[in-house]
Amino acid sequence: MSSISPKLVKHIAKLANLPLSAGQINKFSSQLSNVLDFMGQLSKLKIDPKKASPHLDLTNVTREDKIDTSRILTQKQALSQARKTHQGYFLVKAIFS
Amino acid sequence: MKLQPTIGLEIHVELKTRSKMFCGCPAEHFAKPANSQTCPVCLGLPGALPVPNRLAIDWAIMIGLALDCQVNLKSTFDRKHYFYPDLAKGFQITQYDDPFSFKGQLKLESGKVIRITRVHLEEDTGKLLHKTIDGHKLTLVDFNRSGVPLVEIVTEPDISSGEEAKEFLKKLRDILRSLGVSDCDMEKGSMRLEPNISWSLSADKLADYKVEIKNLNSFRFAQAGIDYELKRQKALLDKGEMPVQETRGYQPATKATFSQRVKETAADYRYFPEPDIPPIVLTKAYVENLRKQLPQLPEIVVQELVKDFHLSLSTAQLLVKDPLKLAYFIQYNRQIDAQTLANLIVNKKIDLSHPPQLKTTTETVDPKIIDQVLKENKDVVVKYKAGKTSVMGFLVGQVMRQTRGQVDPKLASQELLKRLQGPALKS
Repeated sequence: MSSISPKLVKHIAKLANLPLSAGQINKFSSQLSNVLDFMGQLSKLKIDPKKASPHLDLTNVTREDKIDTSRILTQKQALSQARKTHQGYFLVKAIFS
Repeated sequence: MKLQPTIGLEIHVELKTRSKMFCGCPAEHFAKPANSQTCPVCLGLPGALPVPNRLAIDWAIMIGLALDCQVNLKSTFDRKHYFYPDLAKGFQITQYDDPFSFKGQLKLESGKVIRITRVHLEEDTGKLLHKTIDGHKLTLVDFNRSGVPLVEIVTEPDISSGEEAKEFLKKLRDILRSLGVSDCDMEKGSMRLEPNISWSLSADKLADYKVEIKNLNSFRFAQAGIDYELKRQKALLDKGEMPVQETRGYQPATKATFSQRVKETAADYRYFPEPDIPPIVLTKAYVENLRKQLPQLPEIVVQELVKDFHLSLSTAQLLVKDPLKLAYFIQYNRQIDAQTLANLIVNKKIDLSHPPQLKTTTETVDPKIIDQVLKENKDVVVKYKAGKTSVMGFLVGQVMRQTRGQVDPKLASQELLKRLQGPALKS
């Protein structure tokens, strides 16, 4: 039985940049523990760990050092999904207060 | 046992490739209109596929080779996660487990070896500008820099003073410039320095804390920042206090460091293999071919200039620092006396975009100078008379030197010829 403590949930939430209420933290604490237990069943399978790879059989997929203007966005396009902009920049709340 | 200053360096260098690390946007971003050089890949839009720049990989490996590193024949890229507005994707593509190279070294003049931990390749982040607009403190983000190839060089904590750090950094910069892979222009941010500093028992027995300094944009500031930090920490330790592990900024005006409230915790970056980029697998032959392309290391070139052309050490070092100047010197040192040419180049008295054209303020050569040169070089004159006409270049060079390059070399040559073919010299 895994146990994801409320403290750990809080830490993960911080890393994931998620604001959670105290009630949510407790709820997720038991839910995440259950999820881990469920996935934990996989460890009962016999798997050759050497074969685990995120990449299938591909290697060396690279490109030449060439400028590809066909995919460059205009400033207007680049900013089109931004909540706030200012003189061509994306605008966010100050990092240092 | 006694505590000693223990300093490691992290150096970030932007490569001067044409295009970015994982997409075809231009890598040159200085003074370009904000957010005018982005695409779905470097903006981190969903579904975009990053494809590594082959030249950037070659250059990263060459940097490793120049620093005497071992090369990983199988390298992978990883994702490093953190939330910060300069990082559109929420993660940075970098290398964690298998960097391109590792375990190198760089020797200081004293013979002291600074070990290199690793040299890896990653993508630069966007640029942040902190401003107050209409009374609100805000941060502006420009992603033109996002995705520019960035090489990170990490040393072991083998450095023991600000001065040693400065020497190491200068040597490193000279090497990188001679490789032609980066401008290393600190004002433009293409070379960035982050020392981490503590008082420890030894490089292998580190203290329980370390302090990192950011925002150092010159070697002088790096040296001063390190020295300040060592003093500050020593004072605390002497009082029995443990310095706080933190990131500090450096203020040139006060030559002091100050605590920065940095929000990232002792980072849980959740590294994992970048699933979109298959591993880079190299053959030994491929790596050896890159090694062959390495230019001679600056130190060796300096030694050769001093030995072959009798340049002063400082002149040779100044030439080697700038690949353009060095190339010019190598191309034209047969036409003009090497020392004269080197001085003209170093003192910026010559236009590097044209072959050397010396000011010919004098239409004639003072016969006394010709006399003097011939007298001082009797052995050379003997060689000339014995049929070794190639020594003429040397004699012309001597005349050029005596006249500080104020005469036309052709004229000097004519005058010398007249004398050499004329009556024998009176001794």
